[in-house]
Amino acid sequence: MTNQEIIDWKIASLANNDKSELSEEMQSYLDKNAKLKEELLFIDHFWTNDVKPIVMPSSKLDANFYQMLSRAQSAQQHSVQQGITQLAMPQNGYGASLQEQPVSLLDKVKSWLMPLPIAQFATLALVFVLGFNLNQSRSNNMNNSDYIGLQHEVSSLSTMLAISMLQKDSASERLSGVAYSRQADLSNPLLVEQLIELLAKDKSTSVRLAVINSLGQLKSFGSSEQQLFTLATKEENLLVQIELCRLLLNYGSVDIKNRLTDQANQQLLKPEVQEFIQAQLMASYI
Amino acid sequence: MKKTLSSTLVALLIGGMQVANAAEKSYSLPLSKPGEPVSIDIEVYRGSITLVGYKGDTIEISAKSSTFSGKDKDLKKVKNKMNKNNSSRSTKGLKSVKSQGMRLEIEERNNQVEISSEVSNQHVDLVIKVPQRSSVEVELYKGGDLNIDGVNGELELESYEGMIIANNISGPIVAETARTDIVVNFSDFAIKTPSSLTSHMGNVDITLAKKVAANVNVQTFQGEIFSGLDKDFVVVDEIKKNKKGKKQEIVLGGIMQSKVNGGGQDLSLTSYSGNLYIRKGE
Repeated sequence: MTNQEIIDWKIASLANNDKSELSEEMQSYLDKNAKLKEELLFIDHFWTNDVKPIVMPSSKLDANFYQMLSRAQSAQQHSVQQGITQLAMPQNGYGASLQEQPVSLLDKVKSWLMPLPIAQFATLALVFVLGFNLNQSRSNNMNNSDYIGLQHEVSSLSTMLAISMLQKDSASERLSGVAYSRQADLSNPLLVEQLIELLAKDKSTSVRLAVINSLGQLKSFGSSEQQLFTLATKEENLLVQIELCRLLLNYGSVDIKNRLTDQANQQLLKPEVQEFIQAQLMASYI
Repeated sequence: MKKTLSSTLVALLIGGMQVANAAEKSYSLPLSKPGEPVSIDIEVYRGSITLVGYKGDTIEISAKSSTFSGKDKDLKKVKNKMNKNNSSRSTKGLKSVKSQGMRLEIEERNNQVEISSEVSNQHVDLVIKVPQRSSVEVELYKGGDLNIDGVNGELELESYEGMIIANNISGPIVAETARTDIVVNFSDFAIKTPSSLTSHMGNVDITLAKKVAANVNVQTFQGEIFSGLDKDFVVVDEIKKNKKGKKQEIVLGGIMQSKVNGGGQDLSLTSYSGNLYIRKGE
């Protein structure tokens, strides 16, 4: 079980308006992960357009540093006071007459050069520098992990936004969603699933052609390849069928290319599609 | 058609006028929310549609219907089947009575208007005046053409047998025909969302006003492309080479693009066997 799996489940349930609850396994995972809970809440609010102001993580990140700084400052103040007290104690020990004696400039310089205050100051400086550096590196690590978290969040939101746009009533808006999906995380299986569903069912040829164009940007079709092959061989819309064949011939696995070529050789496809595949194959031998 | 739209107004026009086997009716439909966005959804099985944008705030519908002559292939099949099952009756002493009724449904709720004529044996010619800002979705299956003039909202048009002719529009527009042409004259071009014109076997012919800025994408498999634009079309797809650089893949019929006036929103023109014409307007 991973955070991403739960986020994907959440997006899918929101996209499909599915009110079902989390599985026991997911719930127990979520109970242990307060940050993920916050993220799901944020996604919920985003989906319902009820975006609440986000608490910036920087305050948390900086808290440790300021706490450390404050401790160091108070420690420094305390040690200086202690130093003064320690310096004053011998004077008290020598009696009131000594107290009343004016301290000469030479004595002051001597007292500053005494080993104890120098050692104290050096220790404090060391503690401060060490604390500051340790805190800095911890803070950097936290920054990195938060940055990665933020990247995940942005990626999830982009995916969610793309899915939402792909479900719009207007063909032009769906076209816009397909264009947006190219900028979103196309490695997200949910988004690819949604695109393939659109490719299979959308009534507008323009939208279907745009989807095929977007799928060309996938690094690999993975488990969707068989689905795309089935669509390519069963498709009745000539334009869509040719573009699907082009997609698989250009970016599909060797196995799929061979199967598609076999379909063309056995004349199982429309004559125009067979002609197209033959032309593509000829071109690839140049 | 959106099934969720519950009707508050249903006008069932049953014309009684007998004009050479044709009925003609006009109807003025006030909007529930004048001044606010309007969405119009039209579905006609057989006929022609003319939509004209105007500065008013009502929908003015003029409909002329006639009984379909029966030359349609589908209808012939149905008739043949019926003839096999039913023995012919004598018509001696009887005269033929042609249907004079018109069935046209108009619904409106919260500025969402639905107009439909789904009777297969009725040919209906619709002339509809709509507010210029209207968003329009039209499906026309058989019969004549779909004409649109001066509508600035979003357009989603499908015509299976007739042409789509749109003048003085800015889009976004998504239009599709099967075997007929799409002719669009853009007076401006919306940057909100992409536009796309697809004709499977017909031509796509567009004219862009001088001020239009767009990324015009063109793709045809067996047709030709004719451009009057100053900017050349270049292939969008890259030619892929393998690692050793010995083999290269050439994509046939790939998408080509011209950035008009520096480029902008996408305007895609696609056809399988039709030609694509891109003209520069005034």
